[in-house]
Amino acid sequence: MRQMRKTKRVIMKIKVKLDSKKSEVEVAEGSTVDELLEKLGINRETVLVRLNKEICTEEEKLKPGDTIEIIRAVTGG
Amino acid sequence: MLHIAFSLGCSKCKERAVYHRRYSGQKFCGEHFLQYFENKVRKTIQKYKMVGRGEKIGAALSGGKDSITTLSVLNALSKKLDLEICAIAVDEGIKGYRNDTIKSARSFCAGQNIPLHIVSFKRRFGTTLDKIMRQGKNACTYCGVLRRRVLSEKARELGMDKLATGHNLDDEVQAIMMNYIRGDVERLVRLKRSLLHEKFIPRIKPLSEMPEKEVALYALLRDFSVSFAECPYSHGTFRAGIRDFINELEKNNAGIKFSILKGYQKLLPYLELKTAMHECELCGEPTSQKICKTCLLVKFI
Repeated sequence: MRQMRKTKRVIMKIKVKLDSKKSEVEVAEGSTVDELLEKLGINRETVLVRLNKEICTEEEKLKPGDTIEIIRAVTGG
Repeated sequence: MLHIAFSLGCSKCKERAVYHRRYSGQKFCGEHFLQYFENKVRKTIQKYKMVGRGEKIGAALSGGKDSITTLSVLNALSKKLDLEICAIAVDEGIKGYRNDTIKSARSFCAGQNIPLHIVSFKRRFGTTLDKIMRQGKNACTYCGVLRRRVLSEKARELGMDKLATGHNLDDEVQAIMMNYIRGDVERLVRLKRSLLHEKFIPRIKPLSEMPEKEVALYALLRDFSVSFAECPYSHGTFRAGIRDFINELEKNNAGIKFSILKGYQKLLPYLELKTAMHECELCGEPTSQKICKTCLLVKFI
């Protein structure tokens, strides 16, 4: 019988700025901006994101130590 | 690897993309996004014949991203179409919110050489929205009605042909859904078909087919000094609930906002506007009722 091989999930830390609060969020290596937003419970349709100060799409892949700024763009007023 | 690198690039030039327009599958770098945005707004203005050559346009200016973008696009068109543009800002009296946006409005108009007129609830109605709220009233109802009134009065006083507002696709779709859900067919029709009256300054909405997220990105890329702060009174309102609901739908069904708008436009020819416009018995302003909404609300403040 073949044995199931356990894979170790590598975690990376991303610095997140949201509503002028800064925090560190752990995500799996290779995660995208979209997956980070999902983890934070934020709908991508309502925000714009800066990755290391540059505006980016949600498909952008994250690297350890990246800084993300989430701008709540859809406020309705 | 090559495929990944290209998939993150602009659909036109392969530069790093700043926006993925999911409903069309296109990606844009900053430069091509600005080009796309301005072209589309110009096309919307043409499609609905919003402005005519030589017209005087008053743009309602809150100092937020939508109104500053509207004013900027109209101002860019003014030379070509010989338009006379001015901005009208409303100070409703919302401490800690409106002061900042009025500041943005002032600095934008000064930089672009656009005449700015500021009207306030305090001067016109003798009160502020903060005070109205302390009386336990519904902020959005009062704010919307009183704001429309002061804008109309000022636009008429200035001899404007049209009054431009910063309503974007999200605002339009929210209004459609709110009226559907409330069963308010009368208002549903009036969203697109205004009642005619000589005192009524026709409204135009150049951003009505631009998603709010795209307007925000445009303002950010153009480096407009605007605040993205949410109005402190918008939390928990019916509109805010509808907004969140539509954005949840859009997340999993790209293009749903356009579908709602197109469905409404297809429905419109089958809907009849039964009321006519006449003058309010108390103030003489155009209204579809005997007494206009402003007079009804002002009685209670």
